[in-house]
Amino acid sequence: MKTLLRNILTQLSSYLRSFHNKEPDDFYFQLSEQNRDRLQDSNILPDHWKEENWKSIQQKIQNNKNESVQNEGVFAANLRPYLVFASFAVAMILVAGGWFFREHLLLTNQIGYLGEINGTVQINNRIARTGDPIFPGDTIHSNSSASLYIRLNDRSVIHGVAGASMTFHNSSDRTKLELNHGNITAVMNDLDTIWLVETPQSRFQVVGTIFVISIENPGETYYCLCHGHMKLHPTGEEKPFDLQAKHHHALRFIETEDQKIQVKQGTLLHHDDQSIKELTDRVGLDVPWSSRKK
Amino acid sequence: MDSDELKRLYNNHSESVLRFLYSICGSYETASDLMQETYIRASRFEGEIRNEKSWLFRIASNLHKNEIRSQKYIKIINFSEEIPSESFENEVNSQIFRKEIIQTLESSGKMLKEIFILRLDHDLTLNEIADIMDCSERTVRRNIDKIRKILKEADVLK
Repeated sequence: MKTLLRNILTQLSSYLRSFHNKEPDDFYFQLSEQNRDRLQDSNILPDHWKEENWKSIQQKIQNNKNESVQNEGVFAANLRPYLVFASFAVAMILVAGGWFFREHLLLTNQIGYLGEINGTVQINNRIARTGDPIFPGDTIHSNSSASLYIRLNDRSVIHGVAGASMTFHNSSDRTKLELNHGNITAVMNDLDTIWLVETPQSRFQVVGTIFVISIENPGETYYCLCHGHMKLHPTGEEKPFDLQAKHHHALRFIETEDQKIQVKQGTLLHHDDQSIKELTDRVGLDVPWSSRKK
Repeated sequence: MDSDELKRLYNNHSESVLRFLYSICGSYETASDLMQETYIRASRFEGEIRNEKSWLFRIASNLHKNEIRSQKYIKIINFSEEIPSESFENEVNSQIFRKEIIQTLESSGKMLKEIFILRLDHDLTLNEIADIMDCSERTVRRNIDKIRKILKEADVLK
């Protein structure tokens, strides 16, 4: 408060002093008239100084204007390559940002959940419980005596037994299932979704199909297309081949000593119509052959 | 600022600005260049000007400071150079007397000479001087007191 009052008084005093233009200690008023005349500037300026300086000022202003116009032109010309580069860089950043954003969404999008568990099942080496979500990159591992049901977002069901171990990968155009060990039975619900299934001996492109895969040992994979069609691509083969089945078509992929894959016809193993029906009932599919067989 | 407005400012204040610059830098050529630059800077200004004279003096003072800083300008105090000697004997004596006083002030403090010139030659208020010198009014008053003492020692004051 004191400071404020002091400031106000100082300002007021300053204003009054300036108003009267008289300072008690101002030498200006203490000078005698004679001394003031002696001290004041009495220099004589050259003739025509005013006109000459004014011309010079106008000339300089005009020159400055011309220079700035020229500089703007030069600046724009110099700037053009930088602008092109900057536009390109911004476009690249936007594209990369978009790609990263999409990948981030894909990685953080849940692709399904554990529908049912019997025995010990792990997700990424962590004990899993019924209802646990499954994300891209997750590895699901079950004990040899355990079984599990995975319910995917499109209501497809994967049943894993005999120490089934699998990893899900998600990319922009398809979902990939990598089966490393054990036995799975899959009923795919969505006819439009392309799945890619990989085992040590083969790759499958699957669209809306019921199939069974069992990795019986590291060099031998059993495969049965229960109903529908798919594209099979054994490791080492140049081209894939199409496979169609109305009622169980089993194959066996055997790795030979010279590391080639031999494809043999197989028999109905690891599953039957009843086990498939149990799964299709979970999905809500009615497979024509199941009623026919009965 | 348009050309007419600049012309008006020039007609009204250019002599004061030139004299001020000439008094502080001591060279008509330099003072003339700085005065021209002052009006070139003023021409770029767009806005309202409260006190035209002190505003121009402030630009001039700042330009002079920049000139000293850039060391382009070598300060030579010679009040009789370049100015045509049309004065009478007493005017010459006045100039010598003024020169001596200004030299004494200059050797006593940085701001003394400038404040002395602004106060004596241009009759500016302390508030205006403070504005031009970019300092507080209190500082100006303190310096005025110093000037008074110096003038008293030189037997100039009553």
